[in-house]
Amino acid sequence: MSETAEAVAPVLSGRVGRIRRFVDPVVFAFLFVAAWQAFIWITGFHSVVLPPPSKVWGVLWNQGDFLVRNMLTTAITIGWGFFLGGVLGFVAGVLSHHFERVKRAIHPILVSLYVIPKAVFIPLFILWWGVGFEYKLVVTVLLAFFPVTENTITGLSGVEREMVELTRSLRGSRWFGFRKVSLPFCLPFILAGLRIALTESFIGGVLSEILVPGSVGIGSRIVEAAAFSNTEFIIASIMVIAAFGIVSYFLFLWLERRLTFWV
Amino acid sequence: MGIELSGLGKTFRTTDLTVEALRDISVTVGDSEFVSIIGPSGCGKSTLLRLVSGLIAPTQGSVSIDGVPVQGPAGNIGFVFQAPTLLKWRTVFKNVMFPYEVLASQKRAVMSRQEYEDRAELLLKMVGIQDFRNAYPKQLSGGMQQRVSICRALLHDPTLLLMDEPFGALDEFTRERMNEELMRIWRETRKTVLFVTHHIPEAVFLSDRILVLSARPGTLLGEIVVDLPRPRTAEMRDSVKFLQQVVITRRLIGKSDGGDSKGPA
Repeated sequence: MSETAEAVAPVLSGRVGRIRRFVDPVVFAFLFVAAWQAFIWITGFHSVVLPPPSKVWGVLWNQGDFLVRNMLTTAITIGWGFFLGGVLGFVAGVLSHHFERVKRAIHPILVSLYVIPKAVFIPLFILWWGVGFEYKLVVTVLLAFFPVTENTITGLSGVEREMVELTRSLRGSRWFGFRKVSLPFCLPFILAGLRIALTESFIGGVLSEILVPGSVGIGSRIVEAAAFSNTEFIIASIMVIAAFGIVSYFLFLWLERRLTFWV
Repeated sequence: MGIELSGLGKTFRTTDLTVEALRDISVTVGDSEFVSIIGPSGCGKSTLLRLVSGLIAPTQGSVSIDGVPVQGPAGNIGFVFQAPTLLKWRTVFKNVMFPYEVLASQKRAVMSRQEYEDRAELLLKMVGIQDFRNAYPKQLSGGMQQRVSICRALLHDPTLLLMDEPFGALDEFTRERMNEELMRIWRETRKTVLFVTHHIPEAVFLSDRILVLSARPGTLLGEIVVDLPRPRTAEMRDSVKFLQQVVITRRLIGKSDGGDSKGPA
């Protein structure tokens, strides 16, 4: 068992391994698309149900900039929602850890909000804010908020008593201990929470648009395309969202690894 | 730096639980004295250190250091915990420099940053890990991490060193080596040391005096003045005199909990 691991590990970590790690998924994706195209040629499947990859490619080629422009509009909602949700989530986590009373007061509300499927708030939010940017932002903030709060609280409660005493025994202030000990200690937790919040923000941004056709953003374009049975447009849109999602996720992962090099 | 504990007691109260950890401890520790505190687990040894450091307040009696009553942390104490408690995101050197940063944040640093840095280098050299000054804690073994932790406790030149089972997590060989090293450090720095342990040979090897605490609530059962010459050397561990001291200590501890445990071997 261990011999196999030793034999494989150097190969995958070497130059050949790096190439192979990159080649395997590309080859698989290529085969998948080829099989998809072949399937439609052979069966003559109706392209409204499942368009051939060539048609999807056609949409990406001809309307790619239109799709990306819409995605960028959505990305503004996602970005602001992620930022505000992250900040609010962090602050709520810190406050409820440090002040027992705050924790007692807000915990029941947090838990109820956490267990309720967030989508049920959408009609209410539309009623309050209309179908513009504010409403979409609130949905995204709500989704991004919880993972950050949860992880901040988990991280802070993991700070060992001795670490706190170390600062206290030298007569350091609570603020100093928080900045220099507790905060760096929970940084890995907070960043992991933010990483989840990032994917939640994508859900919030796109979902809030899907529910309001005729608005701005790629989600609205998707519902409209569905009304015209423009399946290849929908699939092309999904691919654009996926590309943005994957790039931002891996950028974040890269940043996270750099910031928490000691983990 | 003398410590005086008089009628010291501590009871922890939560809403549904009251635990008396320590009762009526009266003891005097002299300047530059090395005193170990030994007793069964849960006898309040760690509580005693935290009372002396001012991290917690007593419910009865008082602690005074050099005649000044302790009311909260004074900042002139070095604390070594059972776990090295290093900050994992800092290099070894930056960990040792931590007390300086705390002092500087309160404008209480008595020397310049450069002087503290020189001192940190010196301390790391003293424990033989100067080559690891830029390493991160996870790259070091448990024994090396604890050495860093000792350097950190000494950086601000505290008058009193409190050590809470600092070698408890180490294997026997490393523990013995660390004991010898601690003796060398103590000779060079001449700190007053309060050393909590549950390891009898360790207490005998290191101490001028051993205080034996009873099971909860911890009361002072007796004290042993260790009759061994200084400096202590590794060979002494094999001497009859050393073994006699171990036996005496063990007998005293045996009385501490009605015999259900004869104390750790």
